[in-house]
Amino acid sequence: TKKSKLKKSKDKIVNEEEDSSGGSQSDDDDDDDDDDEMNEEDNNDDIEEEEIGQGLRWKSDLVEKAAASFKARQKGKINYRKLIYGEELGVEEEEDKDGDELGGLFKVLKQKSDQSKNDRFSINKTDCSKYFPENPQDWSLEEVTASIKDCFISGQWTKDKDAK
Amino acid sequence: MSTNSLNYEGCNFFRQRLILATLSGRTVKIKKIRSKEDDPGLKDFEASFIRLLDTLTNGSKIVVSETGTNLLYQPGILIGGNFEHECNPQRSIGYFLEAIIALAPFTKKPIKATLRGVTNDQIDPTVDLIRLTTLPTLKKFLGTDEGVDIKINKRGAAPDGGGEVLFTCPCRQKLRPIQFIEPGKIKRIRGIAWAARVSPAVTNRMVDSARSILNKFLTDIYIYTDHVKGSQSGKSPGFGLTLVAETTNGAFLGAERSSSARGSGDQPSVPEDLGKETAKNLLEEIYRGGCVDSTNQSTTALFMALGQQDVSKMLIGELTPYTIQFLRHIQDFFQLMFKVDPVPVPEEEEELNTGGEKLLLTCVGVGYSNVSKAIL
Repeated sequence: TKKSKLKKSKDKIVNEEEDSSGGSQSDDDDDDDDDDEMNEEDNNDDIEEEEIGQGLRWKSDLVEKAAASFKARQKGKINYRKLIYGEELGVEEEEDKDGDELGGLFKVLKQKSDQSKNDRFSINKTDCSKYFPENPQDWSLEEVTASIKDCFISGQWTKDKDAK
Repeated sequence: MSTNSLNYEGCNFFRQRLILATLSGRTVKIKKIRSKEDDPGLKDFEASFIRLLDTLTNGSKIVVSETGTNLLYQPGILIGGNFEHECNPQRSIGYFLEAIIALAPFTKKPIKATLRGVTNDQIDPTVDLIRLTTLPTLKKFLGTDEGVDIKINKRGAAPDGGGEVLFTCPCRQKLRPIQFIEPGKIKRIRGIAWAARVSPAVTNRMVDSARSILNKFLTDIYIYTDHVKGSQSGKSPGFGLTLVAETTNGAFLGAERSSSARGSGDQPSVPEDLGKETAKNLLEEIYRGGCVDSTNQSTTALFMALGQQDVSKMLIGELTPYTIQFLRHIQDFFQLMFKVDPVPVPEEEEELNTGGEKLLLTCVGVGYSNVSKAIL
């Protein structure tokens, strides 16, 4: 059912795009007319406004579209078996090729920098079981708090059943 | 048990390797421990951890190279029993306690451990979090409530510690396989706001600010305040907050924050901010969801793997990097692979807002049994 829903929404988006392109074409025709009737300014303005309204209509629900496509991408299956048991990813680079040598004798060791966050798997990191989320969500936003509202007993239990 | 040793590099996931080596009886070699750093080799807290393993076992062979960058560990038999351990204050007691909990069910004698050191710090799970979230999980696998307890005799904040904790746990011949796939709904939030060697008002300031965020979701919130003074308050000033969300089916999701340690160079913590941050962390943990929280994923996976030869199932939130590595290590030591699948949302719940994607962790236990404990 989810797949069919997604397909529908995709079709919708495609249709809308076609619509908007069709709209702008007709606008071009209008423009030619306008050039002929230069003195009717009021009319011209109206048409221009309309043109903007139609031409930019595809922009109006960009946020929603982006959200939908983001969700779809997120739902794309991660292969957990591969993620966990697959090939090892981060094999540490053995040696720095740059000659950090003092008098050609001593090698200067660079102080380890903790800049790169993604190397929790690198061999000499801190051994710690606690998880610190890298990109915590902004819990002061209404939409974000709404995303967990049904985790609580006060929320909805199933589609049509309610705690009350 | 096979005798060939397993080889690893680096000090990351140090405890995982030594715990699994102890349980599986396999020798482990770790090389290149901080070999390229200014201060190479094992640190004091790791040495302290090795000493702890030595107390817990009998007949272990531990060889550390002169520079401290190589380690050989040949495990002996798990003994347990009554013991005391001075935990190095570089890491909190939680660092050591997590390992003890992983080994506790399989010792010869029930564990009664007195641990001294830092009870609460910013890196490791604090003793409060372990008491409130890890112990309930442990009890499920043991199949009993009796004798599983953590008592905080003295608190000790980072960096100097001075705290004392008593941990008791019975041992078992076998662990129960567990199928826990329905976390239920969150019915209440409990917590502890603690303060040592600072004004007692600090605890209430943390509680109020945490409540200001959580009250929008739930009304059943109770946060205990624990202000310790005198000999019970350790050597350093500090404060912190631990919050736990409890569900109708008995899952516990926890989050916590502690004040920055004196002399650490970090900005001094403000109780109000700390309270809010902790509440947000808890919401993040609720978003991830599952039957155990992110901190307890690895312990749960271990107990599932060591269960009887039966199917164990557990619903969890997104895997943490630590858990992913732990699952790899379980494969190295026990040749056991977990099945990890994203859980499809049933149609009647499609419209609900229940946070992030959930995973189903499934495995058949290796049928591990406690060799030291006779069948009664």
